[in-house]
Amino acid sequence: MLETVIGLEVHIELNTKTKAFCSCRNEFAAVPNSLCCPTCMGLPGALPVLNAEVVKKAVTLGLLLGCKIRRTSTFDRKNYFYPDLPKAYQITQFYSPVCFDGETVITADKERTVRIKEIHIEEDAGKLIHSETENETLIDYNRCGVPLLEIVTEPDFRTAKEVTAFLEKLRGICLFSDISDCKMQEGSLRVDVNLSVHEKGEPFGTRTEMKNLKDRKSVV
Amino acid sequence: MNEFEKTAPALTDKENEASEKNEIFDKCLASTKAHCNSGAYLYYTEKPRKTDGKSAVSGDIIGVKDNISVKDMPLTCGSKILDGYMASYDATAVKRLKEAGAVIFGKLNLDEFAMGSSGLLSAYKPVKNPFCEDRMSGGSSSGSAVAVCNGSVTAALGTDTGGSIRVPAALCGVVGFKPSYGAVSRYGLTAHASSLDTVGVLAKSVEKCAAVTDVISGKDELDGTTADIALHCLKNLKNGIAGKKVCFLKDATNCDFVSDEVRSRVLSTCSVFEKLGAEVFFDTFGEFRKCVADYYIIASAEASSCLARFDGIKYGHRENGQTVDEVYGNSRANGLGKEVKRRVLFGSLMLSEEYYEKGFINAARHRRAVIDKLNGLFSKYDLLITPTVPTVAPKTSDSARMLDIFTYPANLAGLPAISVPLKVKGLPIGLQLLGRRFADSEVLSAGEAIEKAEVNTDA
Repeated sequence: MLETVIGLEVHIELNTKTKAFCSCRNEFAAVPNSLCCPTCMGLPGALPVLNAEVVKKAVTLGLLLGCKIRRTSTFDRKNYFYPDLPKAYQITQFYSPVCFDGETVITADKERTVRIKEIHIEEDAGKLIHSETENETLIDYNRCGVPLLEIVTEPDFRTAKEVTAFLEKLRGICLFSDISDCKMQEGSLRVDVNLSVHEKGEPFGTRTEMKNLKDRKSVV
Repeated sequence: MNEFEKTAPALTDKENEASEKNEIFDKCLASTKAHCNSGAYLYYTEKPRKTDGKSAVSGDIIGVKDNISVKDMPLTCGSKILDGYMASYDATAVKRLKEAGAVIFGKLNLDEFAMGSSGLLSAYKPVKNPFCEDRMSGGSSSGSAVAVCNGSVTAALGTDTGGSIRVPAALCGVVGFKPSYGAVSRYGLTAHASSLDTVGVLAKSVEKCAAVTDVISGKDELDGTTADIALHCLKNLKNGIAGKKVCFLKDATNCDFVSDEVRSRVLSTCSVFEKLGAEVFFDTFGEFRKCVADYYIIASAEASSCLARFDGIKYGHRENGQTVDEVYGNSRANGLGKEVKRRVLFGSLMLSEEYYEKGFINAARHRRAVIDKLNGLFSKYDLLITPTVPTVAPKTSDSARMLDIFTYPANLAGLPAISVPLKVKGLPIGLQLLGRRFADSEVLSAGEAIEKAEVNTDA
């Protein structure tokens, strides 16, 4: 009997007043490039300073998803070149994420325990706006440095219904504990789906990754 | 005035009135113009902005190495890729100097992105040694050392990642002080290697270095790596070194590539230390050569990340291409100098999957061992002594390869270190003193004692 095996990487934008590493306001749909400073613009000489609220919200979510919390957690740089990434690296957590080894129970057709591999803090990149008419692309850096939490699950889902149930539960937790407004249409909730198919009883099949899913319908 | 020396935008009438006739400034400006071929200046202002603030640096004319951000002045980092870039904010060290009443005169030339120890690697123009034009000024704070030597500035801010303040200070016969890592904010310093970079000061006297250090140091909310420690450099300046245990590192002084004249001049200070009441010892560090590899691997690896932001997209020099990758490639290939590209590529290699363990991780582990070894020495002694540089200034046609060999350990371990010029008849020779982490005032007061004793020495 064929079975789908699904794991999720969910990004949520935190609703802190200011960004993750600078004191620029964290706001959606502001005038382009009006919420920037040397730090989130990656100007020469600027340095990041961690926003404590971000850590508080990360730990809160971790505890609500049954995670263990690292007492010493570090940040790493993910280096790559792309115009929406001003420093040419993203400050993220690779080696020691702040939350790990959690689990939460969801109910779709039946109860399922979903294990949370990790939750880590990272910063968002800017937004590229490709012009329809001119041969140019504009860059809005307002979103650079906005705090994100990335929630990585183990491949414990078996149906689309279970995924939906999990996302609804996650959204509920975030709204109730004032962590994020989880609006897919505004980009404060983004879901990457990792999926494979196998014969039940056999090893897992080849994993397919689907990134930048725009809305709930695409996810399902 | 040659094409590279640009003046500040004209002040308004109101500001013009406020800028009083300043004798010290006039002297500095005259000296700068007299030495306009030295290569030290990339930019200076003829109309200083009046600043309030009474302190030990009030009225001092300060030159700033051009990898440190000064609002409304150019910031080139000695590189073509930042040609035309104007800084939009003050580095914390600069802000504190302005608030203390100092005048920021201009931006000083450097080896590109602070990579180099010769003074010859600026993309704009080489810096000449004031004592002898066909010899190296040292680097990478080449302009800082030369401007101080020429009397163009009262003091200069420099940066030291592997010896870049101490080497040019030694070759140009001025004082160069590298504070402890974490003592001075790096906010506004274009990062070369974030775990090694230090903002420091060059001046003609140890006392001026102490005064500037007091002003620029201290916890900064904008730099999470700064420590909440007050150094009290001026207060402790005249403490002297009576009763201190001072240790000459034999594997530095007796090294075969140290010239005879440097070796004998450095060792002759033993009697000076004893006369000042210190106990003199000799011991071995044993890691100088290994530190060279550690430094190049760690600094290049960090630099490959820190310099990735210079891509022509947001600011500075951009070259066109058919795709985004081509824009990146062309801008960086043509905007970055040879030495910078060499180090960025080497650093990327050290962080790549195949070399990460045996390259970067290995160097990071050995760095820990170096720190432990130095801590072991500091459990027995208060100060460690070496020549700052193995020889006098090399000819510009020679190699600069071994110039930093004695300066790397202080950066790897984050220790305070000073180069004090010794009284000589020929080319300058610098004496390096290293202290414990955050014992900056102890290093400065030892430097002060040596400086005052040297005044009375027959060279």
